[in-house]
Amino acid sequence: MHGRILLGARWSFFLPSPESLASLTEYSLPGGVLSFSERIASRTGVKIVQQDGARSSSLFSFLATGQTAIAVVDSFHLPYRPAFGRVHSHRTILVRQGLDPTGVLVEDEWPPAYHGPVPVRCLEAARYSEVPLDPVREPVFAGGKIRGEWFHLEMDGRRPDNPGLWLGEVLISMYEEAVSSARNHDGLYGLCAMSEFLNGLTVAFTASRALQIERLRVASLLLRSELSSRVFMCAFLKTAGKYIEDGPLLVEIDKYYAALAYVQKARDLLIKCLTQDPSKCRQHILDCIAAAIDAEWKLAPAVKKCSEHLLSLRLKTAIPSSSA
Amino acid sequence: MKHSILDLHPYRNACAATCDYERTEGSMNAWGNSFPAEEMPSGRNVAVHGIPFFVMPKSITGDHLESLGQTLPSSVRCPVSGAAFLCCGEMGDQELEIEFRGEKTISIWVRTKGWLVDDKGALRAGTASLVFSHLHYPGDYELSLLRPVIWMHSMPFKEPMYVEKLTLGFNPLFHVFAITLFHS
Repeated sequence: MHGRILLGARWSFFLPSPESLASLTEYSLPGGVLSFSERIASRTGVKIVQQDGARSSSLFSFLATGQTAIAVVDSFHLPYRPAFGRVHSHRTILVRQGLDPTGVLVEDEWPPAYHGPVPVRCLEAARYSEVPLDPVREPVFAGGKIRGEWFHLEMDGRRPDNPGLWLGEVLISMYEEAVSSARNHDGLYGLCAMSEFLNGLTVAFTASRALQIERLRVASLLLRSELSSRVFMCAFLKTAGKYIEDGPLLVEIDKYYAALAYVQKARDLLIKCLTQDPSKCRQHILDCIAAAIDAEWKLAPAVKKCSEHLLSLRLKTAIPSSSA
Repeated sequence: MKHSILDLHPYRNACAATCDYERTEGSMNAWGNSFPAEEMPSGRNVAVHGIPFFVMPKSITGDHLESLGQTLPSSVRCPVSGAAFLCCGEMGDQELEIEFRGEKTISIWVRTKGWLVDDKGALRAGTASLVFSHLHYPGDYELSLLRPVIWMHSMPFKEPMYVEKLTLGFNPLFHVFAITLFHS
């Protein structure tokens, strides 16, 4: 499987504790980089490595090896962005070594997409920025200081001897992650956290307008990170389903993927509510999340059944060899 | 083929286009972006791909509709063979179910693209849409890196039917600027 698809080997929902909610950003990963990365790495060997940016030169040393980094930036400092010089806004972009030392090559997929050179001085300004929240010009993707953080992917190159068995173990692990509930000081994990998120959102709509805006903003960021993770998860499951020719699983994945539209709609309407009267969207948002929760639980039996089938194949092959 | 333009004036509930002195009034998205009013054919008939539409003038309640389940009466007294829409999606592509009621009831789904495109997207949009030259920002400036588009969708019915009213589905991210029914 392609490394990017392996990033889909995670299935949960992470509801941060109230103290952690405020730190969510455009580039947050569900449960934080460390937790998210460890889970994926233990299953697939693909690791998301976060660098803290304390030394600016570490990024450029990495780029000099010819590899690609994911950099957190403030659009305010990027000349090709509509926000250039006007609006502070979080983004992540792909960065590669430039053709000369004064520049780097970037890929920025946010519309209008841009692939091309950026002066190093602009990138550095963009990587170390306050990014204050502006309720009018940037009510969503701002409000957290960027300290030069960047990421890259590492793969341990593992090649399972028995791909079917490996897949069975990954799928059962994902299933158990989804249906079990775990709470620690960071927050609540598991699909049950999605129901708690829904309850919290219902209450958020009744808060004072200022508090409501902040709660709806972080709710939209939370759904954004969970939606992205789920898009990767669908790609992973679909690849798995095709590999093992599991028709019923593929049907369920297609239904689940279609139901991700509910998450997307809830996220987009939450953003709309930041500057408009939320009363017209409130019930629809709550209904969308309820429908999304329903879709999560409907997928679970198909994933479990598939994983059990794969693991049973191991047992069947193990019996003759042991009796021999 | 004849065309009848639906009167949407009473249903205006959102502001899409702003003049230079009122760019903070835009409500096409949470970032306060808006269409340039100087290019919007407000209060005028406009033909898109040969189909006539009427783009409403701006009022205190707005210049177009966000789809919130409104029921719109039709004054057409002969069998209608289809409907055409000027519309666009906020936050990317959007879809909307629209129910037509008369001697029977049918539903159609209209799927429209997002309202912001780059230059390549504007070229692709071509003449089957209204493409604007620049985007208004609430910070009192304009840029042409992303360009607003109103898309035209023509939806023929399987068979003609009398239409007394139509009901828009609920999708506040689906923006409707004009609706025209066609009949023989």
